Amino acid sequence: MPAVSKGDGMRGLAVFISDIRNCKSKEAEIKRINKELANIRSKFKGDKALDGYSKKKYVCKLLFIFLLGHDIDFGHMEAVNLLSSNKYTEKQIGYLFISVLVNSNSELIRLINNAIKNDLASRNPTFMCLALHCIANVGSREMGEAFAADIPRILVAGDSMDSVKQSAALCLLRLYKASPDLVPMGEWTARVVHLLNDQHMGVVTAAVSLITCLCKKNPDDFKTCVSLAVSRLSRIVSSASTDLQDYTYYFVPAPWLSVKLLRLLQCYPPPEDAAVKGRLVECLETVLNKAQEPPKSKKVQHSNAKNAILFETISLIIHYDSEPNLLVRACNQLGQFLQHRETNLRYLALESMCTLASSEFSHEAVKTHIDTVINALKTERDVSVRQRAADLLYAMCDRSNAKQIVSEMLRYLETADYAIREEIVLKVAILAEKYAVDYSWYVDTILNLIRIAGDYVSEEVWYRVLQIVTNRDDVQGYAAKTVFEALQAPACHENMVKVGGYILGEFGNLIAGDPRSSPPVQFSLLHSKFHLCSVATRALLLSTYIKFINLFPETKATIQGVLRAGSQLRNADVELQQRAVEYLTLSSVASTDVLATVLEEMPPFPERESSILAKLKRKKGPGAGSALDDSRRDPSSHDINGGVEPTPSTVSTPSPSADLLGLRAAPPPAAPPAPSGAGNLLVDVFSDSPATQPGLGPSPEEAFLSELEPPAPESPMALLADPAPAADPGPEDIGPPIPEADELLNKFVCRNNGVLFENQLLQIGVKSEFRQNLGRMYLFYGNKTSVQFQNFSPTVVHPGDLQTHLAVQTKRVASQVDGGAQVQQVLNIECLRDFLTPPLLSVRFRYGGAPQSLTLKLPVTINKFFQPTEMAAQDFFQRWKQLSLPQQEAQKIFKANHPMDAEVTKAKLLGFGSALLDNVDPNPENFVGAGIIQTKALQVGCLLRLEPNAQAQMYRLTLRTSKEPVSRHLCELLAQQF
Amino acid sequence: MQFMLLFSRQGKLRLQKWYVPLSDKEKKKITRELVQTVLARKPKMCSFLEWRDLKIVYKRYASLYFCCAIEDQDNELITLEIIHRYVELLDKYFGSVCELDIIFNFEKAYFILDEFLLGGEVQETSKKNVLKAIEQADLLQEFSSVAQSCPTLCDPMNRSTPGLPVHHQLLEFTQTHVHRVGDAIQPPHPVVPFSSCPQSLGLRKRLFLGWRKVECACILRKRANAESNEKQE
Repeated sequence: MPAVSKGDGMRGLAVFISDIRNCKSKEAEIKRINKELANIRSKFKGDKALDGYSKKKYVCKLLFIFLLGHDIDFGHMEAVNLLSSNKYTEKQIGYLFISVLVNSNSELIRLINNAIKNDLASRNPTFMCLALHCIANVGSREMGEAFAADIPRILVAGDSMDSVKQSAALCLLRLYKASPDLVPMGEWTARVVHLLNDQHMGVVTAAVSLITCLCKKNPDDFKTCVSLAVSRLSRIVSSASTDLQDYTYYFVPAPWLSVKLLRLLQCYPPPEDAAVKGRLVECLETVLNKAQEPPKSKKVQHSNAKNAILFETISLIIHYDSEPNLLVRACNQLGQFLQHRETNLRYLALESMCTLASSEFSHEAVKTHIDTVINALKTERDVSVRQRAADLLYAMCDRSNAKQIVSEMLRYLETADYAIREEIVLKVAILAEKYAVDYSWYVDTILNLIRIAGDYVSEEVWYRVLQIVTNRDDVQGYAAKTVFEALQAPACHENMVKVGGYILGEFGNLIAGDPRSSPPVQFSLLHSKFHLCSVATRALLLSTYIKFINLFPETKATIQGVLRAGSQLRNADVELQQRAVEYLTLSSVASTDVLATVLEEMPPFPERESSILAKLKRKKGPGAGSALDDSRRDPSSHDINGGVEPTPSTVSTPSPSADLLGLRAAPPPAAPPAPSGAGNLLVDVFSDSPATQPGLGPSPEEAFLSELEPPAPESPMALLADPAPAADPGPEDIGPPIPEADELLNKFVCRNNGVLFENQLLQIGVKSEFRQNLGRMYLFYGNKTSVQFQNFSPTVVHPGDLQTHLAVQTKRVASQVDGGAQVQQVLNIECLRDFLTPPLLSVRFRYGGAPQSLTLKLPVTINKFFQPTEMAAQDFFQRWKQLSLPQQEAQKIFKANHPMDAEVTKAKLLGFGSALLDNVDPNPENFVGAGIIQTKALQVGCLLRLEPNAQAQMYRLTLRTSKEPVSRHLCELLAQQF
Repeated sequence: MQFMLLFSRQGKLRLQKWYVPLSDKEKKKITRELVQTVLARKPKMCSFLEWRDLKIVYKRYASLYFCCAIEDQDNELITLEIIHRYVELLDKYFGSVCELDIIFNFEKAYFILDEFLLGGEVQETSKKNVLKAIEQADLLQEFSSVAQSCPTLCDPMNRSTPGLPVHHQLLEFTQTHVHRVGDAIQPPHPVVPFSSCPQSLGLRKRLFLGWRKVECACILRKRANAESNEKQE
């Protein structure tokens, strides 16, 4: 290496650079630059022709000024002149200036192209390379048009120097990337593939990049490259560390070329030819083996180069996703890196494992590292590593570890960097939804998200929780109770107010029975947040208020007062003003019935892809959601409670094809409905056992079981269709209940909502609420066909003297039900005395001319009128003793029909309607409950005790009530639930 | 690779190479953002980060940060070694390269990079081959400056391969000559008043520690050579 000046001695330039560097301030620098620019301008414009050296020097100065960040708007012509200089350095500086500064629409492009053309034709390899570098650096379309046809020729010409071939390959690559249409495919392509066999490693290195790019667009044309690449790779991998001389880098043979070859192979599926495949697998194994060998050097360059190949090998193994053995080996190797002292390796191992997690072969192996990954999330000092850990946790999540992972991610969220919070929020929301076994956990998780990172909870996330709560009746009571509690925090996030406002507006009635969350309390709690909220939230709250008027008539006066206040009626915001005016008028003009209809509860939302997932995909580009989309790696995700989408059977209202409100329309403004205040479940707002509130309905397990029950076949009895009789027909007019009627009825003993019946034609959904001795039931009749039902007439029949025990008022429904449509019928129910048999529901209609008829048992059982009663142990035993007459007790010992799960049992007992009393029974395994059955005529006190025997899989159920038939009947009803 | 940036600890951009078409405005914005991001990171942190939809690979050598933006499927570790190989090339070429070499000879830094990387892909990984290409160019330069004084010698345009023996001789001639001048004429005051640069110490720090023992001498010598060349012309 000569020790001469490597610069070509442009003293003026050096002086200028050091002047600039000596400037004490930005202003001084600009002043100096302007002086220089003026000087150069005058030189360029001067009469005296500049010699090449001066031109070069000034062009170089301009370049320097440009690189400092200043604009340069002259000197291009001088630079172009330099291109045709016969002095190498002048030419070189000219090209550099053009490469850095020329913009494609310059009118000089023709001159530049001419100079390039001359140099390409010069047959002087140094000049040719300069010209090729310039094309590659500019890469504009104009250059493509001028040279795209020539360069392939140079690339494959037999007499081209190696260095020219290298430059030509990459130059072509750049042009191809910029404008693929300009590069003609042809005879040269086959010869390009054979460059993989070239003796010169540099040529191969450059050519592989070009081939890889071409392969992606024309995989079939370049298929032959696979076997060539494999044999090249095999030769490199098996070579000794010194074989390749200067292409060995810190004892690693040709790392760059190896990585590029492995990349190339990822454009194709595994080789079909067994010999090629065998050779490749051998290569991959060799790389994995070498990773276990002791390092040949302590230098980080050695390990980096070696591991670069290893990671690329693992990428290829993952890409093939067909060699379980290699996948697991790869996973183990990455597992070692997870605890490596090099941060870089830990980072890459986490990143690589993310993709391994989506392979069914290695998913389980990845999962074994969960503790290490969680630890990384907690202890890594570098945020980018922590983010990788969070990504990996997301990717490895499945049903078995969802709770742990979600709670770790929530914890991380509290300290996470602001930049990645939103992404973490989305991920937590998706995992919580996808892997929710019970939806109360889901609700808790989302509310926690809002609590911890409310600002980062996007609309999609809180819309989604409302959507799910609306669609899943088993979680509504719990959701109401939980948001109510959350809203009591002195400062809560506005998103919490939105969610709380919406849920209480829909389901506040489910917790209204508790004096601590009585309607006025709910209202004042919400209203205390009102003034701090944005317009959008206030608009939502106004809708909640009008729903309250319907749900809780006792709040009407207060709410009307609020709506009437000047701050609402004359609000500067048009939306708020309009809502206040309309709601106020609606509440004063409309009758209770009209209100109840207008403000009826929101129908379930049609299911579609979670918008959160869509958002995450948008954020992270395609593939981000792959961990979730890729269900094949997680067979369990197809199991009972599949996850995200509530199955139709668990949706409270069957709506076969009704596309109701889209997700975006979720908040109330569109159609604020609510159930009337008539019915109510009493949920203890302050209870400690969240998952087991009454109103929760059956656990998901049970819901699934009910789904498995075969749908009742169409009734064989087709009676004459009678156009909707005005009065209830006598029992003699309708057929006997279908054989499954009792079974269907049993499903509703402990729950109020669900699908009552379904066959190929018709689906009947039920939603009901009971308070005291009153109840309201909504029946939804869905036409599953595309043909209209005619003479549709559902009627309720009271067999025997039931009419004196139970009054059911029905409203008529339209006699036509269009294909795919749904009609709703409202039933008002009053319990007059205790009763033992349920009323019958007879549905008749004509389908395609054929009369259809079926009779079901209406899911109204005596326990619906239960009012739970809390009492202390002492009181309980005292009453128990009081009811000691033999006829007052009913007892049943029976075998368990369902798995014996304490939580499920609890939920069922609460759904049955009695209060559950803790600390009464000396045996904590046993359940003790108390309640009062409310009828118009009398009240019946009930005590119950359920003793499970897990060993024998048996239960003993004992009921004591003040009325003998009630004891027996309740005992019968309840015993069938376990 | 989409682009490569070299910047100092003070955030001054020393070299920028873009392999994708971007407007000047966009380039400035990216540079500003990235320099800030990278400088904010602590020493022991990992060398990779996600940025927009790209991956950033960076490494610090003495006072200089080398920072590459690669695409999603590109290999981070090999990119780290691209940076290292480039530093090796600079070091070998300049002889214990330091930030000042790159400031004063920025055009050389670009030429070396073009020989090593082209269109964002590695063109030639052999150190020997890259330096040979650069040296050939330097030979042409020496050659042409001599050729100026004796125009009959030859016209480089007509040579398909530079005549190495001739060049070699010429090289040796100029080399010894310059050496002598450089050694004999110690400039009374350095052409570039380094001492007045506030960050001169950091700037002169070799990017490779322990590579060679000479630190500032080489720079002073280079400056002297530059001056003598100037005089020659």
